[in-house]
Amino acid sequence: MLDKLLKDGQTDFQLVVFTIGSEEYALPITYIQEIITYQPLTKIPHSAATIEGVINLRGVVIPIIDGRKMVDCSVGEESSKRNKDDLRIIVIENEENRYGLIVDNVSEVTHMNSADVEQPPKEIGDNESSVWGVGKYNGNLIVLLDPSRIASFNHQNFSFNEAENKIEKEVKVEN
Amino acid sequence: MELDQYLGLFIDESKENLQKLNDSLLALESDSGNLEILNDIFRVAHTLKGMSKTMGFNNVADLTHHMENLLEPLRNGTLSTDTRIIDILFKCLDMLDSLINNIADGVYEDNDNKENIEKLVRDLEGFLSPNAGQKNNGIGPHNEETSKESTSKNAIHLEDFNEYEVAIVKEAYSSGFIPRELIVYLTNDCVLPGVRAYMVSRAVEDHGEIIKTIPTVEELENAQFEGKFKIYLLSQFTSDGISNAIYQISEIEKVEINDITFDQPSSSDEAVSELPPVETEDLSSLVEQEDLVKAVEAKLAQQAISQPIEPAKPEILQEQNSEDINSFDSNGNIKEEKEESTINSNQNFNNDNDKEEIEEDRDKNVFNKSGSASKVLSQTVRVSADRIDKLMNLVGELVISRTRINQISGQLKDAELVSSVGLMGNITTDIQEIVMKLRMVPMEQVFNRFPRLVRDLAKDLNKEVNLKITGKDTEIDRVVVDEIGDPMVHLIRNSMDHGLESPEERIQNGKLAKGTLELSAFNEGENIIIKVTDDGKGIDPEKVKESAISKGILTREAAKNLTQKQSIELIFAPGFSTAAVTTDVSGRGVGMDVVKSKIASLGGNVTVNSTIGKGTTTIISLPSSMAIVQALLIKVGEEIYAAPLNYISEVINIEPNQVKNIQNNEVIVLRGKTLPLVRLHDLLEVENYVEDKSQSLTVVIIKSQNKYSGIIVSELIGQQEIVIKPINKKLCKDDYISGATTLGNGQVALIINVNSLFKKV
Repeated sequence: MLDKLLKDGQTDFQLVVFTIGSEEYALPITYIQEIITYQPLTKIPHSAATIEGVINLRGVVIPIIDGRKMVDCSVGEESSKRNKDDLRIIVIENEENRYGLIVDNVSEVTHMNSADVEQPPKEIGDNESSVWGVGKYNGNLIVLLDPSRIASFNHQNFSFNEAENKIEKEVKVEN
Repeated sequence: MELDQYLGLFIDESKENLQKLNDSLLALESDSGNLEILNDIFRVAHTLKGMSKTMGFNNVADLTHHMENLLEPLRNGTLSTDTRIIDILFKCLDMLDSLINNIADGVYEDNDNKENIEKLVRDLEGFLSPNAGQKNNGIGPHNEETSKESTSKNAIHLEDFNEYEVAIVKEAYSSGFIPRELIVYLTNDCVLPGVRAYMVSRAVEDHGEIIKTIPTVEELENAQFEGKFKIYLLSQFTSDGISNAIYQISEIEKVEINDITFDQPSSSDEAVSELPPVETEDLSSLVEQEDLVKAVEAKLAQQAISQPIEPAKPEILQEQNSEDINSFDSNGNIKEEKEESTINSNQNFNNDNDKEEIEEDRDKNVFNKSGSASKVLSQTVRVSADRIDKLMNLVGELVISRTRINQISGQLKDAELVSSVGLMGNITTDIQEIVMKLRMVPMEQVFNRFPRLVRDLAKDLNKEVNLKITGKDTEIDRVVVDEIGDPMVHLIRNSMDHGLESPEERIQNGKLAKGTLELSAFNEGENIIIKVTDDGKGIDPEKVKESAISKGILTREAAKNLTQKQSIELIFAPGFSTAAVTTDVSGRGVGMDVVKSKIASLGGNVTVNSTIGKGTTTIISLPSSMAIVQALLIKVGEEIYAAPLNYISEVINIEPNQVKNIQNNEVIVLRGKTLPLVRLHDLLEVENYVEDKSQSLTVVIIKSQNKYSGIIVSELIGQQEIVIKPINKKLCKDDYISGATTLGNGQVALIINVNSLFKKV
């Protein structure tokens, strides 16, 4: 994520800062389509734990991820028990899909220099983590989230195309 | 140059052309030597070359150029089409296809393929070079080209015309055509002058025959000119008509049209005197080389076999030139050939320059032909799929709000409102129907790729097969077209590999050596049926069972109770493969179950019928529309779900005591049949569900093929048209949900994947 930005020659980027529980998090503004107020959700049976449900965003059905469940936050109550009117849904759009993230509060939009961003400590961030860095900002630390990793709905990744590709690859190897 | 805006168009058209090429090559294979088909192929190769050069994709241009070089002698009949040539052309097609795909992916300079292209080019040239040595065959194409070159290069007289052109012009002039010189000026900010020039020449072709352009057509297409170019045209139209046609094209600054007059229009002898001294020089130098003259004579003698002309000595040749000029149509070709041989043996000509002229000559041919072909005006408009999707979405919203307004007006009971809402409803329905049709494309788009696939497979597997395709015109949702291809490829591979036997085996079994593979598509009610049928050896249920047992898919005990049909259906089980030896073609055990799940995700299902020794039929059934369907809205707890109506047979109310238990599974008996029962709230894990034990139960009877099952729901809401919106399939891991829809109040309702409910019972 950071590598990608740096590769593009970008050293200064804009972030949207929001809170989940008591922590501050941020996402690059380029991935954010809009921020909306909480809407009633339709639950999805047998879905991953972090997925709260789906909403109708002007005719498009998008999945909604509960930020608290995602960051494993044990502070305060679960999203479902809080005052819903105070919650916000950040609509995120990346290369593959569009989805919403329920957060407690959106505080501001800020600039940050790549020099102020550090790779997350190894103990908390491995490759699978949705954290791509920790930013220093006004003497506080902000956790920078990776929009493409938040939305990895981790089951049933096996699709027809992948199967086909696999076959083709194997065939090539044999040849 | 900003090429990006043309890139999409380029890729679309290239793909279309490649498809044409594919079809033509297949046709050529069964009817080799058919000139019409060869011309088609040549035309496609040429169009591709032109387009790719304009766009700067030299890989493609280079390869197509060499393809043309090979095609030319095929067209002339000096080289005969054989399987090796068709194979190499197919290889070129594959290469072009991958190059175009790479371009589509943003890889413009494909260095990985460079070597392969070079190899292909060498192979292509390999077909040409040995032929040059064969006297009987080799003379035609090369020589013709060089002669053209010689005359036009040397004879720049009479307003840039060579003597052929002069002859043509005069001939045309006498039969009422007016020779005109068109000077076209392009605007300074013209982005793609090559394309504009091409458009101009296309437009002008409708008004007459182009005899020459300056610079050459090749250079025009490559935009190797500064701001203006000249076209010489034979036309019966007025200058105004021609200039109007040209002004239709944008980025044209101005057009000057001048009628060409001749100083000495009638005398052919005069025209001869215009013959360039260079030519005579050539000929006289030829005379000096007596050996060569003899060679020429020999060659001419050979030509005389096919074309009744007298082998002529150079002196006579020159004389004959003068006579031929006035009668170009009848004798021009003959004369041409004589000169060819002369000049070829003279070997004084620069090959590079020759090529330019060859190109020009060909270009003229191609222009003329494509011009006449395009006179049938197309009645279609190219619209990006995006826009149609957006339109579809909007119409979907419209349908939803219509339903909502209908409800409201029904509640208000205002007669005027009801009638106007009714009218609006009718219009909406019409719009919806039209938009739905926009999404439909003929099955042809899916089937088109299969003749090639089958051909290649047949070669690889050493099997003979006769491919029959019916129902190409059956219309199917565009979404399905994109998705159905891969599963069908799989089915075809299966049929070719496991189904059809080798020719020897077939003859032993008393069948024709050539197997039959039949693809068909047709409408059946609301569904579209696609069949893949082969007359191969069929599926042996016992073998399938054994294989399934050995793979641990089921136990020996369970296998005993299976009917034949059920045994065959085992091939859809994950990880199943019957082929004793896995081949490259099929049999990797990811086959049929993936096919099944893919079809299921499209809302359809797939079944197999097979008779040992007779063959196998795979039947895919798909809903004809993927966008708007009739559905029953049901409530489970507080959640609203939609179930497609075509899966619902009836709805009944039963008392709780009618539910029986068989082996711990709940069933009901309906008209003597025992149906399994599913409690939807259990299956879908609906929270806070409280069941009132004394209340009667609402049971929706669902059907799929010949299977029936009952599902218990809390409440029925009603029947409604719903717009299917895709959702990320990964969201629901058990595949119970096939999509989502929005209701009139903006709420989202999930669509139940009815097929998955049968799995559970």
